[in-house]
Amino acid sequence: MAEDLSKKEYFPINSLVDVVRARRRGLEMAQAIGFPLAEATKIAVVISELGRNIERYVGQGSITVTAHVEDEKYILIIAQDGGPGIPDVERALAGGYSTSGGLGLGLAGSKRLMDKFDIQSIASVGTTIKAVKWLR
Amino acid sequence: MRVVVRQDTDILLACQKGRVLAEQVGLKGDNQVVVVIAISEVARNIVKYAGRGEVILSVIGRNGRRGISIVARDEGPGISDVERALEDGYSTGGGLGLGLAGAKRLMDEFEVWSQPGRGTTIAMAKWRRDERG
Repeated sequence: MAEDLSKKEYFPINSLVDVVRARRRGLEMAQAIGFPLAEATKIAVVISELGRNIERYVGQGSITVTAHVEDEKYILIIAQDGGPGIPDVERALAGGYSTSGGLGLGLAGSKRLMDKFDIQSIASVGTTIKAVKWLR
Repeated sequence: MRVVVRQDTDILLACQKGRVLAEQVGLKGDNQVVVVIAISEVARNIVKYAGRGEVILSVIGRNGRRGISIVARDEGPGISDVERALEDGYSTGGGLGLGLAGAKRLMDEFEVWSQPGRGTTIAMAKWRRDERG
């Protein structure tokens, strides 16, 4: 067993290059703890989406990816920024999703790809999104 | 059902129709999103590289299982290096940046036929998980 300890990696997000780096590494981390490629790709899509939101709407922030392997295996993604906040979280989550143009997959689409998806957003303080996907 | 793809709004339309069809077929929530992502990637390629083309969506069945088939077709310049186009990170432009590589990994079946100067056809399928024949 090459990977027998939980791993946590921090990615500052300031540009699309940072987003690509985070999603690639997230894909590798998920595969390393046993996620099949298609499931690991879903995780990569969500990292990409959350990273792009930071880049697009806030400019800077961070993504932390944890690959947890003790007792149970899961990937935890934490996306944080100190931006304006999401004015209506309920609406953002209830809304339809699309991937066209600059609209992205949206939070609604990202949520569906994960098992757990929590948003904490405070106006003019920032947004923290925690998302978990368990290995079954 | 067929969606002519020429501009961004057509991509959106193809995604919406795909989502409804995926729901009708009985794909789970996360796989409905997968279908939308895959349609988005291939439709975006049509707009970006070929200018116009079409996406054909249909319900398929095999051994008692149901699924959704997505065929994207264009008569554009074609993909000069299909192998390379399927490498991760090849596409970092619009969309989710996962490109064809991402679509391939997310779908159950994925094939590309492309001839330089003649066009590209991409055929993909996603099957319902909970039905085993």
